[in-house]
Amino acid sequence: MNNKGIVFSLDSIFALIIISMLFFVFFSVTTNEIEELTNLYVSQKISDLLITSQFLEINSLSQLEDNYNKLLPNVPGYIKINSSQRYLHFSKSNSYKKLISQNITYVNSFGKEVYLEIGVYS
Amino acid sequence: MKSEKAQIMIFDILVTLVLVFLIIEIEQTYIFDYKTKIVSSESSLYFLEKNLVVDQLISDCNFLAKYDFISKVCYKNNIQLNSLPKIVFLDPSICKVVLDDEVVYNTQSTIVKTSFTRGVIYDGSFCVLEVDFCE
Repeated sequence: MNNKGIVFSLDSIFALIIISMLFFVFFSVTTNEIEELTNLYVSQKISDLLITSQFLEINSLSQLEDNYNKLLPNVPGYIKINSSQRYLHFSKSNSYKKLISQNITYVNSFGKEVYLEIGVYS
Repeated sequence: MKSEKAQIMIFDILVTLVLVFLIIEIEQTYIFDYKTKIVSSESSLYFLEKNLVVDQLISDCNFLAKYDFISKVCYKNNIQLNSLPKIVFLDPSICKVVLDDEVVYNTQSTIVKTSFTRGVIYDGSFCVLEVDFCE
C-alpha cells in the first residue's frame, strides 16, 4: 500500500512535468517569419532611399540624412556617399545583432559616378 | 520488499523516460508545425499581403506610380495622385493615405489594423508615404 502511494505520487509528478512541457512548447513557439518580414520591410525602405536619391541626384550627406530620418526615425544606421560616411543614431555601447545594407552606383547628369550605401542596424 | 519497491520505481522512471521522448517527438512534429501555421496565418501572411499591396501602389502606373507619356516610362517610387481613387480596386481595406503629414485619401473607417511607410518622390521632392489598412 505504501509502495503504491510512492509510485502514484512519482507518476503524478511525471505527469505534471509532461503536461507542463506541452504547454511550454505550445506557448513558447514563435516563428522567425515576423523577424524576416521586418527585415524585408527595412530593406524596402533602404531601396526607397537609394532609388529616390538616385532620381533626385542627392550628393550631400545632410540631404540624405534628412530623408533617412524622415523614413527611419531614430533607427541606428549609416549613410555613405562616395567616400564620405556618417553614422546616425549609432551608439558604440550597443551591440547590434544584424546589419542590413544596400548600395548602388550610378552616373549622374554630369557624367560623374556616384556610390551610395545605406545600412541599418538592429 | 525493498527490492520490489526499487524495481517498481526504476520501471516507472524508465516508462516515464520513454514517454518523455515520445512527447518531445510529438511536440517536434505536430505541435510545432501547428503553432507555426497559427502564427503565420494570423500575422505574417497579412503583413506580407499588405506590404505587397503598398509595393504595387508605388510601382504600378495604374495606381500611384508616375507615368511619363513622352518617354513612355513608368517610374517606381515616383508618384502622382491622379489615380488615387482607383486604389480601392487594389485593396478595399486601404482607409488612409498620408503624404508627408497631409492626408490625401481617407475613408470613414477608423480602426487602423496596420500601417506602412515608404519613401517616394512627389512633385520633385522626397516624401514619406503612409498607407493605413483598416478592418
